[in-house]
Amino acid sequence: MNVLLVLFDLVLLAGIVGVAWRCLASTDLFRAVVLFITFGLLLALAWVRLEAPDIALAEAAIGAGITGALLLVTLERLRSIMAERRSGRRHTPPPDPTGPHALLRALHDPPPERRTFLPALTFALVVGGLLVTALWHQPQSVGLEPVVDAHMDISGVDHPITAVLLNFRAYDTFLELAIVLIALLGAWSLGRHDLIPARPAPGPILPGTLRLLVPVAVVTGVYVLWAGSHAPGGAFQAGAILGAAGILLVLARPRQLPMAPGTPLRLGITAGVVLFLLVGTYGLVAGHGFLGYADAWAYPLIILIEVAATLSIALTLVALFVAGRPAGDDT
Amino acid sequence: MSLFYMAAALFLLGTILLGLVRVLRGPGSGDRMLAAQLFGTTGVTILLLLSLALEESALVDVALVFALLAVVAAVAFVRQHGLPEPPDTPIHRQPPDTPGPERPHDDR
Amino acid sequence: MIANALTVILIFAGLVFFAAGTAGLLRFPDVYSRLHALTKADNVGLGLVILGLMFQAGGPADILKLLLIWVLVLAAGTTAAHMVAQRTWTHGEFESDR
Repeated sequence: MNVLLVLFDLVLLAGIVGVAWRCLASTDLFRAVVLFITFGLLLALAWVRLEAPDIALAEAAIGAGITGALLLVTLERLRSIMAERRSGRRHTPPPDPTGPHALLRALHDPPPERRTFLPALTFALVVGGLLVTALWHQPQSVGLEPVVDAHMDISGVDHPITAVLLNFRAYDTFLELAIVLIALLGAWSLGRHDLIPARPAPGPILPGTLRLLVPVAVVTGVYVLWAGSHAPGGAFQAGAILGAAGILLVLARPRQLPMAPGTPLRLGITAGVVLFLLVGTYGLVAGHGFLGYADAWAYPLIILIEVAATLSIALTLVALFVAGRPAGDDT
Repeated sequence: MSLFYMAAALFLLGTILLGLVRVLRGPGSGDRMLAAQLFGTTGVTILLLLSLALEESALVDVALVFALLAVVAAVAFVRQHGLPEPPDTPIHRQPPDTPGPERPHDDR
Repeated sequence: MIANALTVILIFAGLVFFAAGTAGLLRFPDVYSRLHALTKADNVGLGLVILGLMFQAGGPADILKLLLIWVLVLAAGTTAAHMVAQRTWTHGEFESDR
């Protein structure tokens, strides 16, 4: 068993490094995007092997549901922009992908330049050496596990990760929510954006799949949120799943839907941060410290904050995907 | 038993790495997308096997999320945004030996 | 004991389908043929593995979750195959290795 585990880890590691290398070195953007999607899958497996199923869950939702779609749609826009610019220039045909040594060439485009080899090798050796030195001298410590375990009974939840995220270190989670919100404000401040056009469904299969997937995604999102109190799961994962379902709807909608009304949308997007801040301020006034809870109230307050955070994260991810302020409220 | 699950997971990981050859070679974007789709399914299977081998039942949830969202990338791939409807639709498609005067784009 | 034997047999059969799917992905000449190889691995390979894992499941909830995963992958595989084929068809990217 141990030999197999080590072998699995080695193969996984080789795959991750290899895919990352090919993804960065690829001149074909579409290939790079597909490699990046594969990279996300392998990364989720790596989180599993690092005994971090919470992060594997988040990586699954973000990597499979959101990043791939975001990059593919961006690539399409990029392609149409580049096609306009390139229309005047001479078009060089790509190399024959089926000829002899095609695999060898696929591994080496562009062919590596000889004069970049020595600096690259030196740089890799220096950085690698520094990393090894840093990792060699790790301080001996037992970590925070005993401390967290000793205080689990006052955390209000049964899952140590959730206890850390929403109670012991609620400060970090609060700031993470704020960063997600600020990212959206940054995207909105860049102005309006052509909405992804609605297209009629290419056949009966896509609408049928949507009718199956979207309700299941909503149920799964709620399940993952609920599971967060005693097992891997929680607001970020649930929000990412619901957001991915929203992105699927945006992508696959057969006709133009009415725009989301501005005020409720903004309320929903800020709900997580605002509620977190209100509860935290109340804790400060009531004498539990900023972002502290009374022991008896910890569980309901954590659930309340997580529900609001899930809603905000889901809405923010969809809004970031659509990219652009909601129409009709320029005042 | 867990030895068998682990061996099966290792085997499937090997098939993913082999399948990467198709992503590198292409030639079309459809081929690459198909490979990614197969990797998704294989990843779900690996997660299910690992959940038994490592006795970590939460991995079934990770597999569930992967299975749920496996289709999103494919939908994004096919919904051509920002591009006009290609003139080369099946209704007025030309015979394959005389390619049209202009292709809407080239994926390679 | 019998459950364990069934699990091993079913998972092994599933792995054969995954190997066949990967071989088809690598060896088949064009994208339409590769679709076939892929859907076999999706539908039957995962189906057999899940059927095998059901004998090890803790209760009806686990069995239902495994079934749900299979149904979702079936839907995803069908949709993806349909849409890749459709885009290849409408955008004329089809080309054969031979």
